Amino acid sequence: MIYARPNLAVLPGSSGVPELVTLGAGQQERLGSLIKMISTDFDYVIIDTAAGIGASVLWYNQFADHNIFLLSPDPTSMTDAYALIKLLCRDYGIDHFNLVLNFVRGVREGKHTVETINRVTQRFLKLKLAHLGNIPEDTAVRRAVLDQVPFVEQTPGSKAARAIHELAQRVHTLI
Amino acid sequence: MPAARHPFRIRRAIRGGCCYGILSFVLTAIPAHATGQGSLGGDRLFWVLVWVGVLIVAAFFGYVQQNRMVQRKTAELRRELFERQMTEKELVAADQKLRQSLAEKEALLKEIHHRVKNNLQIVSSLLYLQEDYLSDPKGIEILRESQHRVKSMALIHEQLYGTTDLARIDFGRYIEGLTANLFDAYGIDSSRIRLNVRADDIRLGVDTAVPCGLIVNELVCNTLKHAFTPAAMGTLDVIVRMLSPGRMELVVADNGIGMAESPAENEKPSLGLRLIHTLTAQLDGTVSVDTTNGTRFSIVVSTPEQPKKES
Repeated sequence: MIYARPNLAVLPGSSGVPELVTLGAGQQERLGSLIKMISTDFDYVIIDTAAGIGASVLWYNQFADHNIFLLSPDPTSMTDAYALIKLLCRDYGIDHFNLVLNFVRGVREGKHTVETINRVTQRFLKLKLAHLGNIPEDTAVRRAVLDQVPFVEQTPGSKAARAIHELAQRVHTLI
Repeated sequence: MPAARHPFRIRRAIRGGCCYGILSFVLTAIPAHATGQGSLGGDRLFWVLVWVGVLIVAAFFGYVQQNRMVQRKTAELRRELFERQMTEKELVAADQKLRQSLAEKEALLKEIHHRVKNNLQIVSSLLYLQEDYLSDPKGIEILRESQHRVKSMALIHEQLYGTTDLARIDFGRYIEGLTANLFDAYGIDSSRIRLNVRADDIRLGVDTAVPCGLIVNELVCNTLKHAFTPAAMGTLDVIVRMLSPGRMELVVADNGIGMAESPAENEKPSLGLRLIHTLTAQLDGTVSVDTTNGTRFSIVVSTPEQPKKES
């Protein structure tokens, strides 16, 4: 575990290691108890899962207290999110999901996207999703990625950084 | 405006940064003496250039606005695409699930009918085996009659699992099978007693088919046992027809010796006749007998409305 900032520790995963994607039952149990152990020292433990409906994604999601789906307004991203929500709802009995819209071009687009996905989930899953907020499309994010620094630190006044702060406030109310 | 070159640069990034436009043009104010025209001509040229500039700026903003609208519409269409795709997927999945469930239930129902038929055949076989332990002809006859009744019910279940419609049977086809079985069971030579079966295309559910089958079974058995003397020739007509929607007539008629209009005072009515009257009453029907030329039983019963034929 790496302390990136005084109150922010990161337990990095790895890219291109198939074992991390296909954890066995014993490994899942060990990782689960490790996360539980770590969580006693922190206020929040945020697990950033891969996209899709892989076994590890499902496992992390059923393990979490709150499920937040980060999606863009593109149909492919919405379809991925819907597939995972459907699986978690139908097979794991999870009935509360939160949405965060990324790369949105304006509040209206975010609102319409959430309304669209909600129409589908309400019709077929009898489920209403909560909308936590939007992260607008912002060139500051791209610059920060290229410079490999957090955009909330590099350009704290940017639209995306402000949206992240608002989002953090809303996530805080979830707990 | 002083005589000089005045470069203008309009820069407009469409929100979101996916479209970025820079338009630049130069307004050149030329002194009147250089054009050889008076100050009036210079002013006119200036205003022409101003208007051209205004038009270019308006066109540019129009383009930007249109671009925005296209983006907005594209986003709307993408959302609609997602909604339609998901709806289609869900409906296809639901349809597949329903079909699968229906196929499973049909298989189960066929299996149930098959087992009921097998069990009824076992009962019939048991009755047959018990005949060996009886020496009294009357007792043997009673067991055989019971066998026929059980077989008539087994035939309905056999037909139900052998066809695609698991709820109804083709009653005409059933009557043909039933009467043929009874002719075999009583060892009747079909050249001696001619069998005529005429049936409308009638589909009956188990609830109606079983009592109707038992009624026809009793009437045909009765005819085969009593209507004809051993060497006599004759005909047996079995007619099944719809009189009106919901009313069906079963006719079993022979040209044999005829039956007594009413049993003797001390004679107990046979089980067969009691069954006919009880089952007819159960189907809200009536029994009429005509003995003027042989015996003609006409039974009118209520049947549930016939399903419309698929075109």
